[in-house]
Amino acid sequence: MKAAAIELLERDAELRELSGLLESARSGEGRVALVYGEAGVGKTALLTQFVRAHAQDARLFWGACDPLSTPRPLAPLLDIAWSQGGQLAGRISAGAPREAIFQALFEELRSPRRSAIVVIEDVHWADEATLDLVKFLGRRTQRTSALLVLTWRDEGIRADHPLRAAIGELPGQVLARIPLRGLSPAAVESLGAKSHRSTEGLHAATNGNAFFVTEVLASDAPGVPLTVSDAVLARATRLPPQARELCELASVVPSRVELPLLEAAAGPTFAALDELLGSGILSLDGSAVAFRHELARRAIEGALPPLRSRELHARVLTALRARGEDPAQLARLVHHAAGAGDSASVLRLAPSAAEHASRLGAHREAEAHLSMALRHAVDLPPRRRAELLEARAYECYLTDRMQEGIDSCSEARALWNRIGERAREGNCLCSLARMAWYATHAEEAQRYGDLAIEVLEALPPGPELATAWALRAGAYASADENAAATPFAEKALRLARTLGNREIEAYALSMLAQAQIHLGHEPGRTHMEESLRLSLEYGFHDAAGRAYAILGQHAVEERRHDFAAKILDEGIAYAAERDLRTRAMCMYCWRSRLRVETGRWAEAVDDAARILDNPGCSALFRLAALTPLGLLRARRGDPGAREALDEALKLAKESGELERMVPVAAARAELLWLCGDAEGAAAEASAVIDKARKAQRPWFVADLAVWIWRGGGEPPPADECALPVALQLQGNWRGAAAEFERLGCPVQAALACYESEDREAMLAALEALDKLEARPAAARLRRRLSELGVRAIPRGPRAARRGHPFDLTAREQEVLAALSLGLSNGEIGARLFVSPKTVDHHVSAILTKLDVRSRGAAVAKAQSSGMLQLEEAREK
Amino acid sequence: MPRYLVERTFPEGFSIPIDASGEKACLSVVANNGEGGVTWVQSYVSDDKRKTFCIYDGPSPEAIRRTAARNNLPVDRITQVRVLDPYFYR
Repeated sequence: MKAAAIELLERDAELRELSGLLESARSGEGRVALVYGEAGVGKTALLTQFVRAHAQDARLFWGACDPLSTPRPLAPLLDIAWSQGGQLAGRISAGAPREAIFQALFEELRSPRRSAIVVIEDVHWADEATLDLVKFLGRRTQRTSALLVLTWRDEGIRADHPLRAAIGELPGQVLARIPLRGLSPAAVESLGAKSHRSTEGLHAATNGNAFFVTEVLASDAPGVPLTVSDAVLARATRLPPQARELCELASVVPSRVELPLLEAAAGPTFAALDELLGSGILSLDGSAVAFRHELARRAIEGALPPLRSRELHARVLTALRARGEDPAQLARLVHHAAGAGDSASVLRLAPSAAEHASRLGAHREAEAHLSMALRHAVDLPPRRRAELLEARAYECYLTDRMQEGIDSCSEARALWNRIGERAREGNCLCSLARMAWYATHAEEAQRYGDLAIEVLEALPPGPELATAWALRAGAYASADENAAATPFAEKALRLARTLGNREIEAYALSMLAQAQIHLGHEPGRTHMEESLRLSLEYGFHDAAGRAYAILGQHAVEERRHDFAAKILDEGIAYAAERDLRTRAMCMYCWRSRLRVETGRWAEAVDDAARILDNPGCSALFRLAALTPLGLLRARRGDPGAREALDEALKLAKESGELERMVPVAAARAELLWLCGDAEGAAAEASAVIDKARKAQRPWFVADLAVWIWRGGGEPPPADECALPVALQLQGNWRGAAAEFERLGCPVQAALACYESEDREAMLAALEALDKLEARPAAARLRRRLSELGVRAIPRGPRAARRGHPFDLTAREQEVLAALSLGLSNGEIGARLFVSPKTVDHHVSAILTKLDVRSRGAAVAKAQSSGMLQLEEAREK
Repeated sequence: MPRYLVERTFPEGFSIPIDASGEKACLSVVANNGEGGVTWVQSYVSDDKRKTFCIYDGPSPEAIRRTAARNNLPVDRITQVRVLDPYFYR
């Protein structure tokens, strides 16, 4: 039996779900389907069947990512453009910037002609630019009539795989997850029966993997072969010699080989193509051939003897080259040059490939190309090697791989020094200072910064010197030595303007602004916004990311929460779409803190997890994520608060910066107070208060002063504190509560009345804390109320009713949401873990409260009054 | 991987039907747990079925809460615990 003839088994539910999503897309609400499972489980087969069924009623855009050693930027988009032609292909070949290319595809999808299915296969191999495309489309799909389908292998996708972050950024309401599982034993048996083979032990040996099963059934060897690789190789061995040679050649080309390329590389053996296709190992896909399964390709490639493999790569390389060195093909050229062991070609091609990738915002790929070049650079002239190292260091810096960046940059610096290129050496020192700062190596950063200035001031003034001065200004500002920062920033700004260097101008301007904001000087924010505008206008991506991050940080520190939320959302989207990982990480930290502060706790966790789930991230970001996470655990009464804040404290001390120390100290004080140790809280805050007062930062002083006061210590004068805490210290707890409420700090607003003895206010605060599920704070307030002799203290969160138009309890709202899905009482009961009888009781209560007769009427009324969010119901 | 004791309150009592829908409910909990990387080890249920004490293995308290939300289960308190038994010191 031919493997190709296998029918699709046990995929009806998945096909129905995909069709449902397409239906929704057709009605103008685009969707994203995530189809994933292990290699060989049948993702491609499922989608092939699905698009075949909709060949008439939907346009198809199909692209795939390939497993090149360093992926080709935007490979799937190139596939799509290649098959579609039109505006998209035009823009790509004209070298349009990638925003314009993305936009062209989006326009294409939005065009109202017919709904569209966009398939991007194997996104676990996607380059950064493709992931950015996924984010770009994912965020906009809802406004199109398109169904975007992403497939990937979920085995071995680690927590820090960039794909996870990309998926995490897609809007939840458009996503549908379709995990594919292996075939059932019954399905395996039925396949075996059709091919008249015994399937004893087959399900266990293959775990139901459709590919394995198919391959094993297609092999003539008796019984179950030990491994599928054996099965594949056995089949290849039976091919006639020419077909086998062709098969081996095709195996060194990841994913698919265009026929002209295969012909050019194969020479006379190309004549065996029909035979090879007839074997079913490869199949024809448009004007290219591809292995029916990637596993088979790898099995064959992996079995090639090393010299044979080199020779085959060399043949593909020659054939590719003969077609001209199209920038879009550079990654492929590098892959085959490396495979062929052709160092000279790698060295020539990889840097261009890196440049191309970097321009497209695929910084991780750019870094990989440069590393590849460096591995092949055995005896390169020092100048050339230093250039490669410096370029690699920059890509590492952008993508938050500081230690690797520091290693490359140190080597580059030594080389520049040796050949007497002092300006380039100075530039490397600036980069080293910056990266050491992210690694919280404060002293090292300082030392590199000093050296940079020393080296560059001895030379005629140039852009490197302006950078070094701006960097020094930034270091002073971060250390809250703001008066010292200003003259350096101003010098840098003047020099940048004299040189006409807009990028350094934007940088210097933002450093000046940072110092001014810290000093409370009015033009600070204006300057920062000006720097952002300048960077956006000229496309200085990293500088724009920095400006967003600084604006967001100050807004969070000063509790300007609405602005903070807006600027951070905008900045994160900007950085994420351009693979500016360092900037994005920084902003996730600040947004996490914003969300802890404003009571959006579940989302705060998501932001912090982006940093903490990634073991390679910079120490500075780890610190900035551990702080809100520790505070959140403290506020929820969850374990691990102390551990998170201990580690944060250690890192904050290493950084030596006030702006890192204050949030950690304040969070630790709050934790201790919540655990009943008020004196400890005061001590924790007192340890940093002098530095905060010296820096004259009213919010820093306030964040600490409140715990010193609450713990019975000697707080600083009220007029040094930001408003709500100043009011609190003056005994005006009502004013403090109102101000915290206005700023959107629900926990602090509730705690403001703790010392007041005003029972009514305290009961109201208790309700607010219960609603937030701030258990330890609520427990303290309960204890205080009972000390004051209050008898009727609500027992717990569940006694509190959320403000609801029809006064429905939380449980009734859940039942109502389930009713809108048309579930029976039994189903609702199973979902909410209560008996159907209890559900019935809730339904009656809902009908009474909504004043309606039937379940249907209740749902209709709830929807028309806007209290039942459709998305919410659908998600549950 | 740390182990947690998760306390939950069900004001109206707690019920899992002993039939196919109950099995489905339990399996859906297990599937959601798998996505969150947490494992439900076992639970103790009070006689009035209003409180449960559930033992979970998971990477963090946040993962426990996220999974609970996905499963529509309440969380009162999470405590990190270790096993101690009479033979611990032997």
